[in-house]
Amino acid sequence: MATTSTVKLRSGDNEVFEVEKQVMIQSGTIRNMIEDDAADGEIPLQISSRNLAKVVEWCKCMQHRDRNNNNDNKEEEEEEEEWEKKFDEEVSEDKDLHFGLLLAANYLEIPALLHRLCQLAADIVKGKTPEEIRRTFNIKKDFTPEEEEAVMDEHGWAFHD
Amino acid sequence: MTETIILQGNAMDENVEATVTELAQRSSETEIGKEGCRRYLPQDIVHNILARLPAKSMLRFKTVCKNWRDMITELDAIGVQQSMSKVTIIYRTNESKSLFFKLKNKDRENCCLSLEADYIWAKKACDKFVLFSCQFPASCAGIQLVVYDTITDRFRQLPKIPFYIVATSFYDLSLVYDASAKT
Repeated sequence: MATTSTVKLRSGDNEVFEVEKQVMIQSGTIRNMIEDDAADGEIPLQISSRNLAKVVEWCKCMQHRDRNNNNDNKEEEEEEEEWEKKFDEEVSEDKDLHFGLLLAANYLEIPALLHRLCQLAADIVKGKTPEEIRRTFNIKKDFTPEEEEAVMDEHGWAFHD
Repeated sequence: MTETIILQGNAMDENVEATVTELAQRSSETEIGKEGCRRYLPQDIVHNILARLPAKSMLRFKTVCKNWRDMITELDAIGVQQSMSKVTIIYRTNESKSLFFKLKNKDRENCCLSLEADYIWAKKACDKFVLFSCQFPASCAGIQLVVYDTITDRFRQLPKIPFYIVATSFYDLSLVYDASAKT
């Protein structure tokens, strides 16, 4: 059976992305499927097309960078840095995108992307108050006032600037 | 169940109800867009984010909810354990005011920190640094902190903690390596 050099990924809203295998092996999940010869048809993913497009774009950029690692092409290097900066900005400003990509990177097992997104998330939330955190992460406060006070007593200094 | 089966399982027709619990759980975790945005992240992602926070934020976020409190408490315990298992104190001499220590996973010979201090303790360690605390003779009371960089094999003194702080307040030391900070 002839093996193709591309994989087809179908998003949750039925958009198909055809991507080079070389690019998508950054995803542990897809790599396993390719190795098991299970990637010949379309691979259905419960990821929206908007998020999947972003993931694919990221993987392409990283693969391109790795391939050119030995090249001393200043111009391309700057271009890539610019792209990454834009990616960071875009993700930081759009919470829906950020959460969606975190889930997608986790699901597809792309460690480098997960690392980057988690670091961005940590940078964003580190200055927030617990109340802002609850809103951001949609968390319900389940402490009794006594329990909350106990934690605040223990780490009082962390609540002041 | 392998990853492959789960993935193919997700390819169900929209009319078909998911019957396998794991499948349902898996797709609800990754399904985005249908109801706007689901802002629930799986535990291991939250864990991953929390582990990158500065100590102060981490402690403050213990009041977010019980789940976060427990995760942060656990992270803190792991951190201390990991950190101290990296340094072995060989011996200390009070005469020459020196502390000899060895770092695990390093072939290098014993390292030695020598200061005009009464006592020297290794307090914390992270991947690249070890934090020492030194007590000085009463004449220049206070606590001197010294950071040892395991890569460059250099020591650097931090500003002294004045005695009035040491004596009057409870404090704890922690050492955090910020990989994103460029030097």
